Amino acid sequence: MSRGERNAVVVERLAEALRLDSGASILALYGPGTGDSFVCLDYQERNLKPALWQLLRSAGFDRVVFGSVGEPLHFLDAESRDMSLTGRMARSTAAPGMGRMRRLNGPQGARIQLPPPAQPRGGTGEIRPGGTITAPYAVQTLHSYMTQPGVRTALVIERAEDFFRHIGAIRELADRLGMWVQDGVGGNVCILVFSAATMDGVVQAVRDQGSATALADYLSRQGVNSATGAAGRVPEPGPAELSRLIHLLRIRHGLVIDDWTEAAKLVGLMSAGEPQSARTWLNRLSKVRHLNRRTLSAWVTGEPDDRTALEELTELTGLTKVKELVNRLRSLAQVQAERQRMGVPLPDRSNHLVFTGNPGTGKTTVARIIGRLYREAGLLARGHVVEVDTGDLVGEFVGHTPAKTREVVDRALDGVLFLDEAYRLTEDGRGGFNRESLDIILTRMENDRDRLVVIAAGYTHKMTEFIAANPGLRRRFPAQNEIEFPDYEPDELLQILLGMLTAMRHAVDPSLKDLLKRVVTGLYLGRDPATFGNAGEMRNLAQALDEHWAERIVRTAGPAGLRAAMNKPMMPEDVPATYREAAR
Amino acid sequence: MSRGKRIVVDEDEWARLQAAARRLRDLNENLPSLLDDVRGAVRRDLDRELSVVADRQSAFEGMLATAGESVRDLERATTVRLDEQTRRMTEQRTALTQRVDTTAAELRQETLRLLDAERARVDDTIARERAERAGQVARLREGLNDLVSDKERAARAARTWLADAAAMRDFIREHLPHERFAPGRLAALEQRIAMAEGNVAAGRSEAAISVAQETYLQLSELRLDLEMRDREWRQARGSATGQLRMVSGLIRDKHLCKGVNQDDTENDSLVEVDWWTSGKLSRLAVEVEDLLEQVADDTRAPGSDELRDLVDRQVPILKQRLQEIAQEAGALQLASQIRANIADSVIQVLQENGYGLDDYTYEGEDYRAMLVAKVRHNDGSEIVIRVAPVPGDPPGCTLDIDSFDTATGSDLIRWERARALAERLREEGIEVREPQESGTPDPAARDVERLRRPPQTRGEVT
Repeated sequence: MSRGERNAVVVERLAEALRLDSGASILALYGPGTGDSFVCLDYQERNLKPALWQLLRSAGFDRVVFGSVGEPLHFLDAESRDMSLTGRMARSTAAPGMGRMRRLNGPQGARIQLPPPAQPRGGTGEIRPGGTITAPYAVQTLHSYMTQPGVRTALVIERAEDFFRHIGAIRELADRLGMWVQDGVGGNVCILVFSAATMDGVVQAVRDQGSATALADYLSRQGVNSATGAAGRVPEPGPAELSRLIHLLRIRHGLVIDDWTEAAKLVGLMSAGEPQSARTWLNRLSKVRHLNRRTLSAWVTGEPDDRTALEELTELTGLTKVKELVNRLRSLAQVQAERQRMGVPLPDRSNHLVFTGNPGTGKTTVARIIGRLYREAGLLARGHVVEVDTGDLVGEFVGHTPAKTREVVDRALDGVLFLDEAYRLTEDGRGGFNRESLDIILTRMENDRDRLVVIAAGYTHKMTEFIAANPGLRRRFPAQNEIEFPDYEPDELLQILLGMLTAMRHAVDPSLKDLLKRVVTGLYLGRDPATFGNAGEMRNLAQALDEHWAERIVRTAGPAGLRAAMNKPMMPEDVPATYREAAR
Repeated sequence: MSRGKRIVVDEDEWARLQAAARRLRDLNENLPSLLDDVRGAVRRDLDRELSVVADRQSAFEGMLATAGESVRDLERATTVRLDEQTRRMTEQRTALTQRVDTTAAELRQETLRLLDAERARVDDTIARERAERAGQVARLREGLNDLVSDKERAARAARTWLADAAAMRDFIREHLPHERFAPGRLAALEQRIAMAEGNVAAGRSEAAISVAQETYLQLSELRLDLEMRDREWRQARGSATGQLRMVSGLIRDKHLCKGVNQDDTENDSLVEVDWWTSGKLSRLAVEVEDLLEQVADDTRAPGSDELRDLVDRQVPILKQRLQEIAQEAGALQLASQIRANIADSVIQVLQENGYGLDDYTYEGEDYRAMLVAKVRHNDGSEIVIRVAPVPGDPPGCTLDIDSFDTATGSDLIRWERARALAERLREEGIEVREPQESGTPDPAARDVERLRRPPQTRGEVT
């Protein structure tokens, strides 16, 4: 196989996560993808280990060595092994990590006369799966590989948390790792593969070992800068890989794609919602014969209908200004996507948004639609929305906040991070943890700008203060990206309220409708413009009406006639007294 | 401070490793070709002895033809007895050499039985002969009274008896090993003949006849006695020679043996017994050849009792020694193989641990000597494994593993490695002790090429 052909079998999410160009001698991989299968560019399914091997060989590494708890030192290919043979007679005997081969010759040739052990050793019945290298020698050997000039070497430590926990010579290993970081190893790399979902989990796992504090500090530094640091998160598969996955299943299991023109949309649906591993998709889709929107709707929640994001937005009540802005963004997104296809350099433009307005004005709903719009335009790989408030981001102890924040940001990668009541992050108090969280978010917005859209939301006046509090915020949330969600007009509020009652299966008497119009108008006129709840107020009103109606029909119909009375319409008398006041 | 670490094998371990090599090796005495050879040789030996007996018998008969009438009568019964014994000897020769189904052990037992039976018969025959002689002497005394009256006849008879006695004396002197079996008896009887001759010369015929007759009878008895003893001895010598030839054949057969396994079975490897035991087999062969020569030489050959003892006691001891030598060779060869196996196990463990085999040899390229192997790590560190033989029964060995670390790093790490290696070796079934500090490493110990040369050509002072 030539180098060029080898290049063809890499998989994007692994290649992006593996920061070979960072120049660091110790790299880390973590995240949900480290335990996943990969559908590579050659449409072959591989686990992380062979995929990584392919990647490293194609990146020009002469020797790829693996270390795991069971086999502290082993190879996947004979070339790497042969490069590691030492001693003049080594080739005719054996190599580390390659099992047993020839024996020394005595007067009886290679005959074995040594009796087996008198009794089984160890007592635990533990079987070493192939590798019998002892930890101190493994470290000695790995160190010699890493420092050997002339042979470009990549060392992959699988399940590094377990490796550090179980390897007998952790102190020596920690020393060596320190040497590699400090002195450099001439283009060689050591790749630590962690199964932890977050970088903080990685750092914590290493710190728990006690002996590798310096390594934990190093990893912690790498984790801060997720775009350029030596630590890379391996995510779930993106659209391109999911598309290959569908083809792989078509070839392997005869999966039928009902409508080929919809293939891209199907991939989009698979990318939406809670991200799933390639293994999960392989498992799910290997059990169905046909692939269409209906099949997928069983697994992808939140998007049960066939409407596009724009169609959904159009159908929303009011929001005229929002719709105008979204249309503009959509056009721009399409142009950007086209520019990307043509290879035209993209103007450096921020896609982060600020939604201002009172609660209940549709900000969260629009955020979800924005995520889908961006995905449909190709600006985001998945377009899912992770909705959080300060409590989800900020911890109570020192060191707690970065972990929480990073975990949230990691979850939102390739989608939208919706920060509700974002202004709280600039408020003082809570030991400065709010600011700490905001700093991390700002860094990630910069570093992961191709994979992350942040929508900051809150009351209009508070958001104005928020943006003004930090020059970095204004840079990232330009004024043209601010969308004002005005309070609903009385007619719009009534329409929302009636929609809610209809959803509750209530018939509304015409006399009640008039009364409700007056109630809603009264509420609107008497509102506090800074805090009015809009749709939230309508939800409260709908609930109050429902309670009074229930009380009335139980009282008049009695338990026996309740079923028949369920069809009785809602009447003006079902409007609670407090709301009647508003109608005046 | 020294960087070397040494790991040695626990002594108790060797007893276990060598357990199977203790059992005595079967000598394969019953190889058909070997038995055939031995039977043929024994037949030839016995035939040669029989022909000596037959020649002597015909010489005696020739002498008897010229003897007097009375002597011929006297010798008739003795001749019958000796003929009977000749027949028996021939039968025994056949019994010992023609039964193809006899094993070597049966052959030796049969030989011993025949020798013992013959001894009993000889003693019995001689006793009966002696009793008969006493009767003959009495009868002759009675006839003497008739003769004394006729001086002339008496003088003639005295001369005849004297001539017969002298002829018998000459026969014994010429044909029978009287000094071996009856020292002094013939000389005493010669004096009696001289006395009788004096009596004849002095005209004392009566006394002369009496002395001549009695002397003749005693000479005749001596002749039978010697004849029987000599035959018994020749038979014993033939048998002993056969048994020695058997031992000699076994020694030749054991020159090359099959190698033995730990479980006491044999394998295809060949053991050159003399080489492995540093000449013990050829020394035994020389000893046996010396014995054969001594037995074959009439002047040096041991007596019947010694010959019987040779068959009864010494031959089994020789065989036992041969067995031990063959067993020792097998055990030494097996021990050498185990040395290679032990070194191999250590090397396997070290290979799994990043070392590659650089070189190995038996010191001086001699399988009987210490095995030295060197492994090398990527980082330049070397480990020398020495498995040296320890003489004994069974042979033991010592294992030394010396590490020569060139890489930088703390001594703590080197200890950790040495302990890990010891632990792995124990898992492999090699009971080693905790590592020790090995002192300043001797650079010469790493020079496998030098150790490959014979010790005398290394130019070192020992």
